[in-house]
Amino acid sequence: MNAILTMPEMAVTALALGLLVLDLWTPADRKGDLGIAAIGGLALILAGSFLFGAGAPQYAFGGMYVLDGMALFFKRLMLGVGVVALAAALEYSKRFAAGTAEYCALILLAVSGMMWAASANHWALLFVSVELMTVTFYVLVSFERTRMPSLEAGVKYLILGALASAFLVYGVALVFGGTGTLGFAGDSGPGLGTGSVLVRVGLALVLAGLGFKIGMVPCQFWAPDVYQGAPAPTAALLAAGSKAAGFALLLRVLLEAAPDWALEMRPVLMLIAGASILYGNLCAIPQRNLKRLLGYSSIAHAGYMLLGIVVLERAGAAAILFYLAGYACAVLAAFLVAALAFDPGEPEEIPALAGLHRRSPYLAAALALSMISLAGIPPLVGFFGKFLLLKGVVLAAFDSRSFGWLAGVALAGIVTSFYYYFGVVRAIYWSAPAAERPPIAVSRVAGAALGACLVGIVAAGVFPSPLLEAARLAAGALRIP
Amino acid sequence: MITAHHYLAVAAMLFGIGLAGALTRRNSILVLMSIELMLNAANLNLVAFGRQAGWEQGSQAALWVMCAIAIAAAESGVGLALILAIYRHRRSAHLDESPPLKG
Amino acid sequence: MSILTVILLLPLLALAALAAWPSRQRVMFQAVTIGITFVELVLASLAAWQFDVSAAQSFQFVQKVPWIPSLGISFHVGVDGLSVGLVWMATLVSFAAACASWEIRERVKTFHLLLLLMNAGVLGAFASLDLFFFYIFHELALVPTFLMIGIWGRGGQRSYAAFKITLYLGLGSMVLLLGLLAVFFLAGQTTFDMVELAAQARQSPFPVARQQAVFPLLLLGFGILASLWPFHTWAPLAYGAAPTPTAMLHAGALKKFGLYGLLRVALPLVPDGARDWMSVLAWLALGNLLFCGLVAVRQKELDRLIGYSSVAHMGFIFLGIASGTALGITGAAVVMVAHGMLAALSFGLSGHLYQQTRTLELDRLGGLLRPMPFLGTALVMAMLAACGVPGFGNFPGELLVFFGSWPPRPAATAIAAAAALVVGAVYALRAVRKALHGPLPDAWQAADDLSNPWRRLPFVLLLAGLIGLGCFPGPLVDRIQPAAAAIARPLESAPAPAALIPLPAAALTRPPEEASR
Repeated sequence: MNAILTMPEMAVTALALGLLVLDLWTPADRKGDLGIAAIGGLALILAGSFLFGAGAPQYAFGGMYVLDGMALFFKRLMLGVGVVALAAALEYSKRFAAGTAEYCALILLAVSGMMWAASANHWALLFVSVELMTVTFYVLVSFERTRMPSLEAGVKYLILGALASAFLVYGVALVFGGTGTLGFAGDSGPGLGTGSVLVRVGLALVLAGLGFKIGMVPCQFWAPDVYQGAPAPTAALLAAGSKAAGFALLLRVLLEAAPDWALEMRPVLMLIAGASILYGNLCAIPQRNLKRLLGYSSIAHAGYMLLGIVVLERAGAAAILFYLAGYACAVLAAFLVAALAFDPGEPEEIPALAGLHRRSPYLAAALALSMISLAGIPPLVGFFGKFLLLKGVVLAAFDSRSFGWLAGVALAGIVTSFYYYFGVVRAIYWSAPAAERPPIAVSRVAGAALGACLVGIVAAGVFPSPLLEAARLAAGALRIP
Repeated sequence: MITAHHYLAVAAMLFGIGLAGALTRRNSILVLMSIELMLNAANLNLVAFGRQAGWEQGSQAALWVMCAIAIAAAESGVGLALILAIYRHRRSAHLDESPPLKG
Repeated sequence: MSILTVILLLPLLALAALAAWPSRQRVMFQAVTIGITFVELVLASLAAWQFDVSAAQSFQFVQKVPWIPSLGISFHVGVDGLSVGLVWMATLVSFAAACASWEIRERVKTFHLLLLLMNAGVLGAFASLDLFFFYIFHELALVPTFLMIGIWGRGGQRSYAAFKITLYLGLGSMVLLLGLLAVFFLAGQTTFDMVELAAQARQSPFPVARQQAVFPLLLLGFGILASLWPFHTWAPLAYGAAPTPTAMLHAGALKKFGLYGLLRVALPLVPDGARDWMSVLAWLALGNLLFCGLVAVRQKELDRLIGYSSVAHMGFIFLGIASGTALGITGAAVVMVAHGMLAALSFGLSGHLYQQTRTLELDRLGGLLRPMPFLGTALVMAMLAACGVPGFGNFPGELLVFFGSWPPRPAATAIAAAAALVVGAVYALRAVRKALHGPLPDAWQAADDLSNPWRRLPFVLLLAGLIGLGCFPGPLVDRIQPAAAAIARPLESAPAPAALIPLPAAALTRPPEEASR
């Protein structure tokens, strides 16, 4: 029994529960300190996670739980995302009537769910961790219960999320029937085999369930509505964390547990990737709401990342890990600005960003950098991620013409995305504001969190080597048969 | 003699009924109930397969079903709370009445 | 540390330092930008002077720092005879552009930060010897261009122009990225280093069928970036809307990236793929020369006219590249240097004119030679240079292009020489007559003729460069020729394997003129 391996998750869960308990004795005007404590605790856990070396995979709970390089990479990513999301929450929760500590605790619980998911090596742990994350997100999305959009988004996420869970469970049940085991890789020899129809249908249903998490076509309908309606910190956590957890599970299932099936389904996966890229980018063009635009663009980014899966190689997986880290930095920065630059209750309309460069040059530059990184323009991290993903596709295109088409679709999508990302930049820098608005004061915590994201965007773009090596090391831990 | 196939057929039917309900119903409580049907179809499958797979895997599957039931309960708990909150705002539990999120 | 590294680091360090400087001290930013670009110019002149002509086909001032070892990417700079002139021209144009930034009055800090970033990008693109950095440096200029046109641009169409140039250049660079990645795979996925790739391509050429698949990507990508007809429409629009320094730097230096890339990457690495496309390129070049030249004749505004004429001049360069001969490529490279100075000069002058008159409509201008003798004279000389009059830098280059292009393609060359030069003379002289002669509206009696000698300096330098290159092209040609010969060698060699495995698509695109020969 290696329960010590699960220390980080346990610590995050304990932190969340402790926060809830402490909240009982904290006077209302000191609730902010609880948030600071949560940030500090999470940062400590992040630092502590570096005590674990990325050696040979280690197992706990009878092989249910695995700690390998990839799990560790994802855990660090999610802890980092959690720290920034908490900073955003601390800033954003000033507009709640009450519930700062609950909001922070829920974020911590969601982060812990994502971390468990990163280590899942068994269908049961996969399901429980996904549900821990999802059920927490139902509450996080609808947390502003006095605002109708937030509630609407919550119901939408609830119904589609529960539907996805049902698909997932039913799929797992069928896979269990076909293989007679609930573990999916482990030391007993990876690969489930795709012999029976039960397994194939089951895996397809599992793919649909996980596809909901990453927001790929055709399970993407929730993304724009939920991103728009949810409080900005929740949306940030959804985009950066939940998507990463979905990809962690997808990598495990497709590349480790069912590589034969993935190979068989490659044309379908390619179709899904291409459709996600086109759908996300084309639908994002007419959007006026910043968060909704990010919702559509998150679909497109899921499509880009699927390019790393369809090549079915370690290099592709490494590209996804790198891309996820870069995407997290950019999208967290964007949602942080969305949390800071708009008044409470004001819809996050892009035209309302006009004059932001005068109200707060820092926020303006941050949002512009984030958009440019999302568009994938060098020397920012978004470019290098796309570079790595396209590298795999272009290599495959030499052998198969269909990958050439996929590269073409990706290219068209990326160029299309320039239009709307630069539209946001235009709004920030030279659209005429409708009315003069006061400067924005950025608190120290939010400013530091934003600064961390910006450093990530620029540094990992100019010096990609360390992050790339970490991603390669992590992807090397994948037991691709 | 009732075999695993029979359970499978019943579960598939339950899943189908649940899916149809979830896709066609407008009342959010009915949609939630339909989704519960789908989850239970999966649970039925698991128990049946677990019985077939022998004691060790079967007990795992049974344990799993327990987890799934608990989680489904949590899910519907949160879901009902949400629906209540919305109901307070607009006195209706229907999903498509003037939602502000469109586009 | 190589002198080139210093030149590249200077603007980036200045950028970092200025970013922390309070934005109130406006003069400070311009002073630093001018100072930095001047030091770059001095250093680049020094490099051009120290350049060893006897070894012009090998790279000098080389520095190589591993950057991403696992992908074979390194920061690698160096110049050979082909790029040393371009780097020098780019520093001169950058200096002139920095001097022309007087017209920027608001948000001065942001402007100069962006200008320095663009400056670093331009220089890095010409000095890099690693495909990855070569690409990245060029892309550095994309966002500054967008912001500069949008924020400080002129005219009601500036937003449209900013989006158009960004989307076009974005499309071009994405196509190019796919092409460069394909080259990387052809060479066995080991390195992005251009020198190693070129050596590999020389020793064991890549499979011909693969080359034929890759070259169109490179041609399309580089072609869009260099405003190859019919992908040119972004250029006149964006240059007309851009603030003067941006137009100078972009049209003068940055747009040469696409042409330089064809010479540096596409022709040496995939020569067998290039051979089939050369005649296509030659005909597209005629499209630049004739179509855009005729469009320039019809323009109603001076900056649009200059923009179209600058697109038309790309035709000479494409024609020289398409010749595939050492002579033609040398000519193309000379025109690149000359046109860089010419474009910067023309856009700088029209920008100053706009500052004085607030309009560039040719029908409303007139008689400006009287109040503005210096500017008028400079504009006349620029226009003469544009129509290829001997004594200016364009002339020797265009002559070499024609000589080089005649043996493989007499028909296209004849059309280009006869028609393009006549069309060029028509629009150039029309611009001079409309803007400088005729009655002078009263409003502009007291127009400022660059009275401050400091403001004249960049124009004087650019003119001196043009005339110097026109009268003494020897030093530049001596540097370029060995490098051009090395590029042309695989193109001129017998295409034995290419003819054995004909691709249907490539055969169809070959014009009848060549197939019948």
